[in-house]
Amino acid sequence: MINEKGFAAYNALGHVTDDLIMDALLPEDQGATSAPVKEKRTRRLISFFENGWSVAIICALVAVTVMGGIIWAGNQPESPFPPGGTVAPDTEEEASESLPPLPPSIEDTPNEDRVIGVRDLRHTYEPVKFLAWSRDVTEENGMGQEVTADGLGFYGTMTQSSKMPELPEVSFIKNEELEGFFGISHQRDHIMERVTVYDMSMNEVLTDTVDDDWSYSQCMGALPEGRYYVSLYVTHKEGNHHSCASDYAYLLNVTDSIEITKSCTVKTDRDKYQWGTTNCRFIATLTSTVAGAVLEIDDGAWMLTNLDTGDHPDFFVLELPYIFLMPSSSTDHAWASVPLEFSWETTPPGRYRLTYTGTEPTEGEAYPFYDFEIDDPPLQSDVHTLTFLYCSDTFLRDDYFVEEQHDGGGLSSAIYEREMMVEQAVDLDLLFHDGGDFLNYGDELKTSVLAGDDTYAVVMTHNAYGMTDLMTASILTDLAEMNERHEIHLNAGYWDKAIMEDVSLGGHMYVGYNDFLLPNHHMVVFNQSMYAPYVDAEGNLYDHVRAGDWTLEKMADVAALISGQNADGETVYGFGSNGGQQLFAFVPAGGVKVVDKKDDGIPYVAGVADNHDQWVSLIEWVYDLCNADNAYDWQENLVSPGQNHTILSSGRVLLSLTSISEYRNLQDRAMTYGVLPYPKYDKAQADYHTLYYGGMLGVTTTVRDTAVVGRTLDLLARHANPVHTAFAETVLGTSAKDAPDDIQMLEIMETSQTSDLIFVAYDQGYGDPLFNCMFRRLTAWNKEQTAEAMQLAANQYDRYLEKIHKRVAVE
Amino acid sequence: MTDQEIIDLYFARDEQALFETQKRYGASCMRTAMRILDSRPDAEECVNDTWLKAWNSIPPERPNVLAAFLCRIARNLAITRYRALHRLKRNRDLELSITELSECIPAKEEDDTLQHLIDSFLRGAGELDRRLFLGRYFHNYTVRRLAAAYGLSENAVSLRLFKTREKLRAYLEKEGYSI
Repeated sequence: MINEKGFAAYNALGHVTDDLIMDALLPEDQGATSAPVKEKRTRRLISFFENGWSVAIICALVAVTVMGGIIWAGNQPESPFPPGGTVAPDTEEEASESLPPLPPSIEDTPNEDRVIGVRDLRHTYEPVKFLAWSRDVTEENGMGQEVTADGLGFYGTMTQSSKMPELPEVSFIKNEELEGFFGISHQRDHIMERVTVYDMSMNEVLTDTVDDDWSYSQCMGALPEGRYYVSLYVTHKEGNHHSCASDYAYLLNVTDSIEITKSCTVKTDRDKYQWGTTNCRFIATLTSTVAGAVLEIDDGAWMLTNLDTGDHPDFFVLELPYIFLMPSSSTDHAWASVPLEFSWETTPPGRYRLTYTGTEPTEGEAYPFYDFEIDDPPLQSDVHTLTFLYCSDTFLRDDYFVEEQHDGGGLSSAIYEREMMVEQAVDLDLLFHDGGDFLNYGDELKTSVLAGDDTYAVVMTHNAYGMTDLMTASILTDLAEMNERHEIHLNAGYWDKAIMEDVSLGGHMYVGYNDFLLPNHHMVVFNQSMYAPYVDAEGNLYDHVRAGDWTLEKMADVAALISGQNADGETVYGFGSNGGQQLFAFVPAGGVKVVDKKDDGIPYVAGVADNHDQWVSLIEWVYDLCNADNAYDWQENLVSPGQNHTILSSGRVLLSLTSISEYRNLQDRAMTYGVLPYPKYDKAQADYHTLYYGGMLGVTTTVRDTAVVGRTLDLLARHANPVHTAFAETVLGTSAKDAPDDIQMLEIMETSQTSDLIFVAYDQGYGDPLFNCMFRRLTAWNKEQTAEAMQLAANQYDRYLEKIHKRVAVE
Repeated sequence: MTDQEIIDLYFARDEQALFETQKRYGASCMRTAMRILDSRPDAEECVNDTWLKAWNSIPPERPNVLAAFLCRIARNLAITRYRALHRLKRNRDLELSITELSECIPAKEEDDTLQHLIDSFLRGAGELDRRLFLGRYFHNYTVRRLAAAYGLSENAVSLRLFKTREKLRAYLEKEGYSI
């Protein structure tokens, strides 16, 4: 709470003079005074486009577009108009010049929804790749100013389409008390990213903004009598993902009330198309339509190609006719807007096929991913309860099962609501049974199943211990077979089929991973206040991640910034870790697959056989990090249990390795720390990889009705988004909107999560020699000896892998 | 209607003054209150109180800048309301900004000399730093909002704010204030 001292200081500042107060006020709070600013900038760009540079620039835009790049809007300033209202029209004549009228297509737009399409990109979405693009642009910007390499861009919003949300309900309200205001209300998991109000009478933009204060639920703006074109851009929040997007376009007639004379919602739909975006408003935005769909420019018209039929369905681009140009961050240029119709006129005739060269959807990923809905009638079954047995030191019961309703939102409420919804949908009681710790949960399950008992339908496993036993002793059902029977739907985005394939054994998927399981990734945390003095010189760490240059080398450079003692005479550290799996997580993060499968399906230690040099190089990097003078090893310095994070929480370590489950126990984490994924091996590595180190799911072989179990698992995962959102806020210790960078980092981790058979088929110590020779003896690092020990350990583990493979292999 | 015309309505005790004030400055006052209270019903009450206070203050006061006058009232009412509510859901961003502020400004409310010194310091600070400082600590904009508005990274904003706070603290201590 605010103490008296703070209150007094706050009030003392309240007496600064009026001119200073007004000077610091952002335009949207200055009343209706900012339009001339925008008009001025617009006019500059109109003249810019009326000169000879327009063709060159537009050609450049198109060329850049065809190359397949994008500026990720999440990395850009939200509003194209800087604050301050400092630029007034030079002359009245200039200010009074009207902008070009709206294109007739808006007036002619049918008053109906347009369906474009969507595919699930959750596990193919690779945000880092999108960033590469903007770096290649170097242009003279037509105003006699050179725009630096990363300087010319387009204001657009990247759309990551995912599951089909319920469209939010949008309403316009004429507030009696605050006349001339309009509002939008929608569900909390919809984020209003952008509002544009275009005064059709005056031909000017009244507002074009995103405001943090209102983004969750509503927006407001002065709206005197007149006719307006209003565009709303809304995204749907799924877990940590801002995904499926919708554009709303309205023609409003405002008198004593607000009448919607025409409306059109451009929304996504999962039925028809592989991919869709509603956000084809600018050229640069169009390039965000990645991963499958082909969008074409044909003489200035946008067309959408149906991947299945090759048809071009009717498709309208509903947006204000502007391109926004973003200046270089290294110059003082203002944002500017360009009427889009000028760009059309200068777009060279011809066809431009834009096809993303990255991840294409495979045939198996085609929709429909699933063929049921939450409100479908329950399956006919004589099963009335479904019991989950969970490993208590991997899963916190309260993260999955809540017995009583909680008021006030948060994780417990989200869990409870999902549970009630799913129980109703499947007409079952869901029960959760504590199977004990990692040493015992498997025994209880085995005893039950081998006796033919169907008490336990689903097991939530430890991440490593006991897994091989479960997989090889006929305890677990093959989830691939359930998928073939359409009892579960592994192609849906809420299952992570890639991980399941990686940890499959003998051609069977005995363990599964889906969104019902909450993430528990290994990650890097950094102390924000310790790093603050280095931001200017070293750059924002979040930006490094977004730019794809968060590498081992960069991490080492950052860690080297801190050493010696702080002002209190305490030793400070650049890097700290707890050894063990935290260090091993560098291996998958560095792109090394430890265990892979041969053509005959037999697993082997590929990290040693195929990637030996990179593996050794990784160890060298990590060894240097851990053994630097400014590094702290908790394991080595551990005095008492629970001491692990004492140094970290005392603010004495800049970079530290931890996991989500550990991090959420830190106090004041939201105020102090930032989270980052593990670094890439080097810049050449295409993507980040984040080790998922939580337990997994298995369905027991004694289950009487696998269809009901499958439907339950599907529904629990498919409706996990509110739980994931609340969980992310719990982990970060703050609301999602207050920690957008950290939320984005968690999202990157989740979309880049990976696992490896070594982390699952690890028990009985067979995987241990690899861990040991790699990282637990890092203090005695010797390249030759370690390489030799690794080879021996790999040989031993290869034999073990072959043995367990043959035990369960498909004949 | 201009600010001067609105103020004239106040002096004429014409209730149209409230209507015109609300029409012109309702949104900005609402935003000011929302940034502190983070609750629409509370903010609405705060804005209504702002109009009442303006009505009771003009006359005799004749604001030079009506917007700043209203903004200051709304800010003060909102922070008072925030404290009185003992909110279960705390506005952590606000509390952080006030904590930061208390580390560079001494706890003396009615001290003309101090207020003069703060004003002088801010006038002598760079334009961007001054705007960021007042945007953060007077208008309660989030760091993120300021970063977006000024085209800076959030860390750059935080760093600039930190440096300005340190300078202000040193300046005031040099002038004999203990913080």
